[in-house]
Amino acid sequence: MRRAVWLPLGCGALLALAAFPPLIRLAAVTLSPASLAVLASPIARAALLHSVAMGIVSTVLAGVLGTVFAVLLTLTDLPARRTVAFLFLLLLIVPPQITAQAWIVLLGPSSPLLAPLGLAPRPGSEPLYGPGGVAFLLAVEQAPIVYLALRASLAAIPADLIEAAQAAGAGRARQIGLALELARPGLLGGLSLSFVAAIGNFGTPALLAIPGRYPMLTTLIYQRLTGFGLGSIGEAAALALLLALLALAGASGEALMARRRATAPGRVARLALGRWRRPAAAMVGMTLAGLLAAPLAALLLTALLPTLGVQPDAATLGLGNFRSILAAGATRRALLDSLVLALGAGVVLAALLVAVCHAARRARAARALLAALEVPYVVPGLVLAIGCILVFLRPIAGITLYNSLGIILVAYLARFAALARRPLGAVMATLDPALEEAAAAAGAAPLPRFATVILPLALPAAVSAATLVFLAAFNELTVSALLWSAGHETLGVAVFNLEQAGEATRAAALSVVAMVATVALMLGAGVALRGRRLLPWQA
Amino acid sequence: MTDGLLIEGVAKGFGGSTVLADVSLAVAPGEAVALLGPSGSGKSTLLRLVAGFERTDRGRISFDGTVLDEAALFVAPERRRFGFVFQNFALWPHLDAARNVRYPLDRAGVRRAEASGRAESALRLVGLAGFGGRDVALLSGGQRQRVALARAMVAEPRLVLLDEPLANLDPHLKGTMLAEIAALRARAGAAMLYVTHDQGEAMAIAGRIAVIEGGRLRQVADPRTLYREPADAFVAGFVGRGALLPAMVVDQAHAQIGGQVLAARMAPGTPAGPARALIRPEGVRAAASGLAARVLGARYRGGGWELRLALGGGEVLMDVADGEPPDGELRVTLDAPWIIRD
Repeated sequence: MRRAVWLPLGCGALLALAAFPPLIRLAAVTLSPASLAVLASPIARAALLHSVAMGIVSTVLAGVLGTVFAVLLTLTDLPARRTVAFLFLLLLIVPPQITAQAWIVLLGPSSPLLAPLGLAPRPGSEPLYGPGGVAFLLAVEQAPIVYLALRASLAAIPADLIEAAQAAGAGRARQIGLALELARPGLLGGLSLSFVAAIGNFGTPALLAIPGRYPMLTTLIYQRLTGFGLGSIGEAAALALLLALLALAGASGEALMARRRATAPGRVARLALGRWRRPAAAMVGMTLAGLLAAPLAALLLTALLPTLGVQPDAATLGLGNFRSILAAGATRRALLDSLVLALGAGVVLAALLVAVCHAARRARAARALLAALEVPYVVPGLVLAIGCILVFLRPIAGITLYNSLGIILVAYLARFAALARRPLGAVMATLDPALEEAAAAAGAAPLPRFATVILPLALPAAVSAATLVFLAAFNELTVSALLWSAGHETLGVAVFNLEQAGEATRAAALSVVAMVATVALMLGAGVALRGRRLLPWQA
Repeated sequence: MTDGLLIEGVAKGFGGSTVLADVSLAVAPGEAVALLGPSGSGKSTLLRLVAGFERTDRGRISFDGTVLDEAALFVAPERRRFGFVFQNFALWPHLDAARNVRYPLDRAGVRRAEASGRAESALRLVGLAGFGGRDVALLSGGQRQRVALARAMVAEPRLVLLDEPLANLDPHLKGTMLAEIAALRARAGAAMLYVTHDQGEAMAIAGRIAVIEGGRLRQVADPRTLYREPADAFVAGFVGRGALLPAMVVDQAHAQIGGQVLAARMAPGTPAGPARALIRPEGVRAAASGLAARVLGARYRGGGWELRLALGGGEVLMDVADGEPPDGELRVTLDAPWIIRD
């Protein structure tokens, strides 16, 4: 049957133009001996070693935490599973720089929660600065990644497989063991993704490893570029390529596992926890309180204090910081910029990918494009940012994107296309071709067919795609850390800069604003797409 | 210039495997033809070629003298204006029943008020008056297929294509739906091509049945001829119950079966020599004298028994009335069996 060819072709070309030139350019620049020399330096080797070590340690920890939650939330009758799943995912959705900042104030010498109890550490002995803190926080952020991948595999296990074990006399522990065995591709895939996320993470090391004098690849690249300027971009690019190769190695593990993943939706096995139900619920509650509520409470208290170290009471708490950041031009502009960028990237990507994902059913080229779009998502954000600088530093067709919001938007389109693809690709793959054939038989030409049948049916998935992109882009720091310019900051950059400038309370206030907006959007999208299971937090 | 649908020498393959090889078939205006075949026979592919969802590799498809598909010439499905009914209904879940039905009218540019009226009367014709505002996801299977039927007929197509329309329905619904489809089509006067693997459906709905297997048409005939005079062993086995026994043609009216020369029917010009005889269960009768047979087993069919008999070097089926089924040896006569050449 004839298809609308120009629409997906145009959309695909736009996506490819945004996504691939930066990476290609980066690879080309790196392959010069002068650039590669930096890789032999002791600091580069130390950074590589540290990044890999942090990746492995944090992934092991995240694997344990993520597996426990995936089993409890997917296979058991734990109470309030939906709420727990939402809160657990917040660990991933709260951006690293905000998480790190919250923990810094929570465990800092003037902790608004611990100081009144006399438990705060003395100045100079902060436990978070250095490898221990980095590994711990990376693990907390990555546990939901393992959880998501494992949950997908666990949920695909047909109930009768577990019931057969039950009939054969297997107890609860054996049944869970069997389920994990069956879901092993999901677990291994999740661990790979967790490693990839650790390697590319910038926010956490930026706040914890830099002051801890513990060089890692992402922080080293950032320090080279911000310390030595654009002249050192070759060296930064070489380091970035190293980072990219590490990430791609991890991601290929995931891709390998994804192929083996079973998809047999249907009735899902659910084990009764029995007398363990209350202890399990208490354990989950305490974990969430410790990992999520405590740092966020510390962050909120900090945001309400005039300066760090002041005892929080009725006289000192106030909204001064919020008034101040909303009054200041720079922070207000950053909020607005991130809003526009995230909204723009979300809407544009959802629109382009509807057409491309639809074409992917038939056209091999569209399928290849979708597969290739995973690369700029897997490659660390700093790598993509350097590629964008290389491509857009000079004007193209008379337009200079460098030093404007445009370069950040292009980078976001490249980075988050894979994210937008997930719900759209899933919905398009399950869309019955007969629905479109029926429209053709009813006299609808390709474009009207697309407009009257495909588009309305894909709309919920498109909303979900735009939401996922918005959430990722709104709080994003890694890409914009290198691409922002005076007057064109993002929210992530504004928080980071306030923190670096020692304005902890105002940074906290801005983070609270970002968090409130993020959670509100998650809840709103959840209500709008009720019952469709298109969003990761719709357990 | 021929009126109606004309399929001439059509071939189609997917990825190296041939699905249709040299198929020719004509459907006259207002005629109902069933395409009957087992799964994988190519019947749905032929229907999709007529609809324009796929393109032919070779051959020609034309309608009322206008070529739809031949070599580079291809009329898109949306410009053929045929009705199509899908096995899984293919109703658009984002539109209510009435909007589903009026969709072809909207695409044809029919004015809103008129389209609504016609959709409403189409729904009334399929017994769904007042269901227009319903969410199609909340309708039962039979109701969904009625909506799909209304959608296929609303624009008054000259040809309606149905792809196993009853396969997803409960057995008790099939009879009623079959009658409704037949009545609806007769009323509209449209030609129909009806794909099914169920011979009962085919016989109930079609004036002519085209039996297809392995991508080739085996026989095109009216239901009675198809049953009584199948063209080959495949059609004989696929349509109706029965068994083939080794036979020796003696002349144009006789064949030797089980060691006796019996009256037989055969196509004119059938040469003398070895062949096979089709024995239908209702053509086997118990008698005082005749061929020797031995009962191998009996299966109750409701109102009577189906016996499995060893007879004339093979096995045949025989229907007997209710009661205690016969056992052991018995003698039978055969109503002039149909001879199939090897």
